[in-house]
Amino acid sequence: MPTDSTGITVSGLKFEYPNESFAIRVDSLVVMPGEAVAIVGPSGCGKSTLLRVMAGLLSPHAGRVQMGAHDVHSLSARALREFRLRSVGLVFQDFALLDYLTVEENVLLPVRLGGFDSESSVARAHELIGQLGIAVHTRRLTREISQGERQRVAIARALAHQPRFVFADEPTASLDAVRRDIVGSLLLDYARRESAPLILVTHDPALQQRFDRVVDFTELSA
Amino acid sequence: MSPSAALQLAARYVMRHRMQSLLLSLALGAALALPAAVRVFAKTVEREMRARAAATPQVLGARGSALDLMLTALYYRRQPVEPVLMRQIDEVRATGFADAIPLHVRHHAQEAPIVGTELEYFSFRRLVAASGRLFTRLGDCVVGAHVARERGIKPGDFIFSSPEQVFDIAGIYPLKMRVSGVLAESFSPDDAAVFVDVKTAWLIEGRAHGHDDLAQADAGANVLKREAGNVVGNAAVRMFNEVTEANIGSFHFHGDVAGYPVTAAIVLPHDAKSEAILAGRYQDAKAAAQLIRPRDELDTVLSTLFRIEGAVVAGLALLACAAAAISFIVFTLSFKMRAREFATLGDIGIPPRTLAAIKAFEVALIGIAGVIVAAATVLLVLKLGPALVLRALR
Repeated sequence: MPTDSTGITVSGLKFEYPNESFAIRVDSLVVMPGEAVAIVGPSGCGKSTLLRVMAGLLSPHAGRVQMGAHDVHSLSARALREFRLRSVGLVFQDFALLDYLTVEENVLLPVRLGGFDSESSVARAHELIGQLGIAVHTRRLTREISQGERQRVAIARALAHQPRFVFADEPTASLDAVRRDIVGSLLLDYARRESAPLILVTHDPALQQRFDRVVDFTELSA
Repeated sequence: MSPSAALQLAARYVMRHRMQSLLLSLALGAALALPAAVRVFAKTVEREMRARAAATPQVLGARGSALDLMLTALYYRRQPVEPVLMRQIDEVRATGFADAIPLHVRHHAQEAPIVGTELEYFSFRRLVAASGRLFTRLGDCVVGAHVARERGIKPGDFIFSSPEQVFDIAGIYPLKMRVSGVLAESFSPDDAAVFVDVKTAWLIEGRAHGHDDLAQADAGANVLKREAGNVVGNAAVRMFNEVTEANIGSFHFHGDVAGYPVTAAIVLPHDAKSEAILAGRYQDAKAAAQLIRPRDELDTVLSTLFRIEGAVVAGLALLACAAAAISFIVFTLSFKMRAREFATLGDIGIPPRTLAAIKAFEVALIGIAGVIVAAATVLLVLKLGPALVLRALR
């Protein structure tokens, strides 16, 4: 269970890819504990990059990302990895599943490799698998299931270790309306129940409506 | 980090890509096993050949290739060896320095060589009948264990000698031989041979024969002419191709047996001094016969063989190094192709040392499988090597 779950504060953030003209800038963004924020904007504007910088996967050239008590980018590489492994839930745009593992093995991958798996984490993984409607595929390889099902496996993997912060990049892009609602509800319920800030990049207007706040990326970096 | 989880993940990858993993392991295993297997096989050849050569003190044969003589007398290989005469063998016996056992290795029954010899040969090689008995009369044969097993032969059965020339109607006719016994397995070339008395070998060769008795009063229809105590038979005279109790009395040899040919003789000197004296007597290059020490001839052959073996093993060791290098490239490329997978694990927060451990475990699993394949191959060669060598020597 998260013990010091607080919000996320981004201030004076600047990031640009080496040798590219592309750059992002965020003066200020605050996400409260349990708050669900949807980031919207045109394709290619830098939403996913912002998400990766906030999650500690990319280092900014300037500015701070405060997650709970941690100034993420001032942590050592080792401490940052440990922080991500234990406290951050990531849903990647391309799912990033290991196709030679089963659904269950993919969901439990971070906790097992991190060495903090337990009966409760296994039970929680199975609960998530059930809630996401993929229990029937528990022991099937992820390469044998549909895109939508793979996306739900990615979401289950992101939440299985009960992260204190959740970042999701287009998590409902491959889902039909019914599944989109289920996944949306699951993420929102999690954020509220665990008081975990949820930051989600999406183009889906229906999903945006259910979020506490919708932030237009172009205004954020203006 | 959880090492067991890293091992589990590596094992999953290997198992879920079992065909590729299996092929890689087999290739590695084969490359590792080949030099060792060749070495083991060569050692087995050497041991088997040396054992028989060491047990055979001297061999008498016609002048010519000592190697051919040794291969014929010890391993019954069909080599172009000139015969020696029984007289020359009797001369060795007459010296009082040694016993001599004649060997007539010319004919065959299908693929099995027919070895004409004397009963002393069996005690010399410590060969005993597993069933039946050794030959006791003209026309009998004793078959080696391998021949009996391959052809389902038992005492009381018959086998035929093979004609030398199928299309030569004036040539040697097949002899129907009664199997008097089957030898116990000796794991030597004797297992693949058919043994007959040397007189039976001469019978096959046509130096003796049996036919209707023309001296009988009722033989008139078979007689072409009678003159001065000499009876000439006509084409109706029956030649016997089988020795039976009824016709054995009609078999007879023409000419002096001392002038009959044999292929070689195993010479058994009574002591080292006798051996040296006998060897000295046959040193003369003008002598009609030669007396060789099989172990010396074998040393010459094996020294050449093992020089070649050394080069082969070195070549195979290079091949193993090349296979290891190729495996390294395969693993490197595989990990490069899976860069996204490892990047994802890194993004989740899996430390680099865990990622390195996953890769190391994958390499180790394939490597261990390769070593198991190599060990199994070497064990297989150790188990089957002697049988293969014997088959090659038969």
